[in-house]
Amino acid sequence: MLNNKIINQIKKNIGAITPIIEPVTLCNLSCSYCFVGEKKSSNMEFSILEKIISSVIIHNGKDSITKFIWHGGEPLLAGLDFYMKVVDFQNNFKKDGYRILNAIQTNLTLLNDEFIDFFIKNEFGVGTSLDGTKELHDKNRCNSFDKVFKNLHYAKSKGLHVGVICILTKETLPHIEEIYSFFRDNNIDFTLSPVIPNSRYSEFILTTDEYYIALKQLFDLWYLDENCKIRVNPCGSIIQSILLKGINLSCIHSENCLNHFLTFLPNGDVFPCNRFTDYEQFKIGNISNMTFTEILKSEKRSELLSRTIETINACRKCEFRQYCKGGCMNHAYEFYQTIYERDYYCQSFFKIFQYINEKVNVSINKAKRQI
Amino acid sequence: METNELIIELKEPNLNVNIDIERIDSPALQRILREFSDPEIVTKMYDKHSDWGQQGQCGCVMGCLGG
Repeated sequence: MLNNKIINQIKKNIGAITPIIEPVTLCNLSCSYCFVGEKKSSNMEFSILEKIISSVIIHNGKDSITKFIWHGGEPLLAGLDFYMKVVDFQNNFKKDGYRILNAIQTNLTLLNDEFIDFFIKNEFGVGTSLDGTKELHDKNRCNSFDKVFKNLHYAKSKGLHVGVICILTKETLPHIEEIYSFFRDNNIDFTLSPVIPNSRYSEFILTTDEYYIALKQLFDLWYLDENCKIRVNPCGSIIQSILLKGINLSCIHSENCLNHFLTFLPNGDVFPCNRFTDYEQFKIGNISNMTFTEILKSEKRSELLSRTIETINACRKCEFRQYCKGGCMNHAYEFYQTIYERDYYCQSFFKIFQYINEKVNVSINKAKRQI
Repeated sequence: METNELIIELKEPNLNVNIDIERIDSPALQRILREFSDPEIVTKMYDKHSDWGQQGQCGCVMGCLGG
């Protein structure tokens, strides 16, 4: 039964800092709408790696689980030895009772048996990007579909769970039904995410109405589909948020992601998230010459943490503020050039929250027991 | 308590709704509600790489930002 005790426990647990670590910024692909700017080939030095791992684990303590997210660039370019070292460092803390998990976001093209076995053995979660069918994916992801799809199935067949993000753009907008059927028929959980509103690739950016209509279409396809066994987000996560009284575990709806996440680049630079790494003014510090406590208490982090739903005019009177919590500060910055604005996709969120809330209420009311 | 009983709160903040999950018209919502009936829900929410874990804008569930 879902009750306040459980909700309070969840609230307590989501207080830990989750580091997003980029061991390398280089990538072997060059997708049309990649938001990562400068890409360098050098790996993160082990001294920096060790400092990040130990600092975050000790900060989070034994009551929380510390989750490490390995990102990039293409993080598999760092090599298996790098991740073996990661696990070695972490094991020193596990022995003392600290709880640790890892997840990696990779394009899968470099995945091999050694990586798969290592990820299974060490309980790494794996995420990848797949934009639907071969035709849709290959348009902007360097003709990588065959390799990604083959490796995804192979990894799943060996027991590795792989989650998928599907980026929605102006180009793929007319293909929602095709995208949904593709993932459902291949039994792949996926999250449909809009392309980041970055002016570098403005031709791909959706209007807020377009994104809303796409989400509504996706929700309708999924909600009443008897043959669907997959999880489809953000449809499922919005329902989850409704059921959890506004606790939404998605980073963009966590009020201020800096309460939960920090991104570390190979040279030790620290940013709120990897969407901001092109903007020097968002640099929080460098773990090489600062302690983790100094980073957490830094002026820049405090300044960025001041973005809340109370500081965003559009959010103050919004009926869905407890679900949305102001959205993504990067989406706001990319469009409005300030973080103290609503998410660029605000109107899409508002309409889809409203739509899903009504649908769920109707379903629940029909199933009410007579007491 | 039966496993398909659930108390949730929707629009009305203090409304406890006793529902029969079998009568829910959406298979997707049914699945989600059944998962909420699982006593291990907190474990699923946080301790594992589950679908209920902390989510970011990527596929790995745990909270990164994808692209």
